[in-house]
Formats: sequence, C-alpha cells, structure tokens
Amino acid sequence: MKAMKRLILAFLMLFAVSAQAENMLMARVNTDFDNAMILIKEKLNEYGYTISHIQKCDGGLAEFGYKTGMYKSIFFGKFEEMRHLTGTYPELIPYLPLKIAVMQEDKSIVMAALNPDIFSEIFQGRELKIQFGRWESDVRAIFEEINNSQNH
Amino acid sequence: MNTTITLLAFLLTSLFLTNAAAAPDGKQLYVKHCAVCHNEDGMGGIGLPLNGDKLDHYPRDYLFKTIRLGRKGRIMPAFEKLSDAQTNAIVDYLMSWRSHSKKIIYSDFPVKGDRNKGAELFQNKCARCHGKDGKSQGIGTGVTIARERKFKVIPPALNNPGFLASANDEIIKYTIKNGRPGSIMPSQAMSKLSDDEVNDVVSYIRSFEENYVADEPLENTDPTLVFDSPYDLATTVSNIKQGLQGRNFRYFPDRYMEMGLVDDRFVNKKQVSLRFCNFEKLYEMINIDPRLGVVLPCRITIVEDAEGQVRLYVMNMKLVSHFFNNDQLVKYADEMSEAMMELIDEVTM
Repeated sequence: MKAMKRLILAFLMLFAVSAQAENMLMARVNTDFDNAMILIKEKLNEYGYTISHIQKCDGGLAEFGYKTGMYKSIFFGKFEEMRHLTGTYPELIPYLPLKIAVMQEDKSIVMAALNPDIFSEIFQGRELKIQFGRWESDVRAIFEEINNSQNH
Repeated sequence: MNTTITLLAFLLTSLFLTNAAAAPDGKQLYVKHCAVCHNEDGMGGIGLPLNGDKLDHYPRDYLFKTIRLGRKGRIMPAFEKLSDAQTNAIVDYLMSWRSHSKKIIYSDFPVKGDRNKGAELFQNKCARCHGKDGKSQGIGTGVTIARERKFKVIPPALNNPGFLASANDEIIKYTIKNGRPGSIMPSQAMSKLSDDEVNDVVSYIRSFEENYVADEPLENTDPTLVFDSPYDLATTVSNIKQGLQGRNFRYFPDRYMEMGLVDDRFVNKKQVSLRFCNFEKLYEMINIDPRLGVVLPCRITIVEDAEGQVRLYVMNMKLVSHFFNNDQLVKYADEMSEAMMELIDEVTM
C-alpha cells in the first residue's frame, strides 16, 4: 500500500511539473469586475451548476487593512452530485463544492480553477474519473466561452 | 501535355494551401496558452511583461526552451505538449513584438571566468535582487498591477534549472553587460564591472547548475486528512472555533456543505464546514500566487456519519500546494498545514 502511494506520489510530482499547464484552468476577460461576475454566473447556470456561495476575499483583506484588487471565490456545484459524492466518497469533502477564483488585474479579470482532472491522479475509481473528466470539460468550456465572449 | 501541367499545378497549389492551412497560428496559440498570464498584448500580469523591448535581446532558442521547459517552482509552466511547430509559431509571434529587428548572434561557447571571484562579485553586486543563492529576493512573479509589490518586475531566479537550460553563457553575459530595459537591472557601465569580472560572474551563475537540489518526496500523500473526534458534532464544532480564536484565525459563519445548492430545509445538517483565514498570511500568499483563491479559505469539514461517529476532513495543503508550481507558496502552505494539524490535535484530544 505504501509502495503504491509512493508510486502515485512520484507520478503526481512528475505530473505537477511536466503538465503544469493543465493543473490550473484559467480565463481572462477584458471587462469590469461586476460584468465578469455576471458572466461567470450565467455560464455556470447554463452548464447546470448552482452557485452555493461567494467568498469575498477582497472584503476581508480590506477590513484588515490590506490593499488588493477585487477578489472573490465562487463555490458552485450540483446538489445531486454533491449528495452522492460526499456520501460515497467522503474523502472528496474538502474539495467540494468546486471553486473558481475571480480576480481583478488592472483592466481585465482573471478567473482560475484547479483542473478537476488532476484529481484523477489522487483519487482512484472509474466513477470518479468520469466525474472529474466531466467537470474538467465543463470548466474548460465555460472558460473558453468567457475568453471568446468579449476579447475578440 | 496541357492537362498534365494543369494537374501538376493544381496538385502543387493544393499542397501549398494545405500546408499553409496546417501551419500553426502563433497569435492564436499565444492567446490560448499564454495570454491569460502575460496578457493579450504582452503587458504582463500573473506572468512577466513580454512586449515592447522586453524580449529584444533574447534569441529564438531561449524563448523556445523557456516555453518548453518553463520555470520549475516559479509559476511559469512547462508547455511540453506543444509541438515544435506550435512552439516556434508562438516564438515567431513574440519576436514580432520586438522593438527592433536587429539580430544578436550569441556564441554557444562557454564563457571562461573564475567562479570563486564571481561568487564574491555576485554577493556584492547581484544578491540584493537575485538573492544570495540566486533564488531571487522578490516574492511571486509578474508585475505590480492589483497588489503592492516590492519590485515592479520580480528579479528572475538565476539558479532555476529552466533558466539555466534556456540561457547560454553569452546570453547571461550580454544581460550583465547591457542590463534589462524596463527593469532596475543595471548595465555594465552602471555596475562598474570589468569584462573579466563579468565573465567571473557568468561562471558563478553557471555553477548553480551543479548545486541544484531536487524536490524531496512528500511524507504524506493522502489528498485528504481524516481525523476522528471523540466528541459529538456540536461540541467538535465549538472546540474548533475556540481553537481558531486562539491562533489568530478569523472564522466565518459556519455553513452546511450543501447550503446554497438546495432549499435549506433539505440540506444535510450533519456536514458542517468551518471556513477560516489568517488575513496576514493570505495577503502574503496571494502576493506569491494570486490564483490561491482556488483552494481558499482554509476549511475543516466536520461530518457525523450514520453511526454517530464524528470526523474531521481537511485538504492536504502540503500536497495541493504543489499544483501551483511555486516553491515559495509550498513553504507557506507547509506552515499553514502545521498550524492546522496542531489545532486538530488539540481539539480532538
């Protein structure tokens, strides 16, 4: 079991370095922050996701006297998936709901999410692999649509 | 005869058009793979600025290797999946941004210098920005846009294997002699180094290759850390809150995991998420990598199972921090992880 873990780790470390471009999915949109938030909310809804919560990281930082651009984390998911996955695979709990960080960078907005497909390497199982692949495909498509929506 | 010539002309034209259609579009590839960090016009962001005169003195080979090898541990990923043709197309596109078309030819011969003398010079002239061991003094990467940073452009880590593999001695020498436009990197005239001294410094920087230490394997590779609590759900939640208060963490109102996804009447009330943050650390960490919000805030989820056993579920930050390709972030994540483990030990005793 330990040897297996070592093997997975070795692969993971290799993966983290060699395929780093895929560890993070990202989008950039040239618009103001409020518009970007509307855009991402619309896209998530189009793909059948519900936003469960928005964490205002910028508000907390400002309250403590730190200067930062607009910065929010969006938690999103699908209820049935969440209920099933947390019940059957409780080890997924810390990674759910899924998250997208939305941050201001001068006149554009950057969005980032951990690529759900990287979880395939750390959580085993066919059902999970399919699930992670589906999430990856959705987030990738959402970001691509966002990239294309206002930039060109 | 005419038919043969016409057919041949048609075939050649088709072949040409097919090749032209298949040739990768550098701009398109740049927008797809690079613009999200470096910005569409190359003005920089999470990644370094690339437009104007920033790339003037870099040869194609340097840019090609930088794209393919990345900068291990410094956010810039290795784009190994791009083909040679695709990488070259991006390089072509980047080269089109240069402020002049003057081609600088760099010899591949190693520069001969005294690395010991170079070490001393490096400490006096370079370490203030590039760090004593070449790791760089600045934290994070990219340029100052939304956040305050000490350096406008973070000085590169000269001991980085991606940098050393991309830049030959002559490129490093040229940079020391001419400085870097748009940054505080001075020229040879400003730094008052003689030609021999420049060679010594180059030899010393090259010696970083020999001192490179590979990552140590992680001790715990479980993506999720699970702890049994000897208390009931409410007591465990209360204990954790008390523990957080005593450790400079601010905790947010607790939420049931399913809240917001379904009507409140139907949420599973046996899954409680406690989110918390140390804003000082958060600020330092998002300066290192602004994308950190994809795993924050810190969270402990307390779950009571059907048998009444209460367990704590925590993301293994030590493991997840490696997804960011950022050594500086890994150190902070280790610290945060240690603080959380102490807290959990205390509240589950």
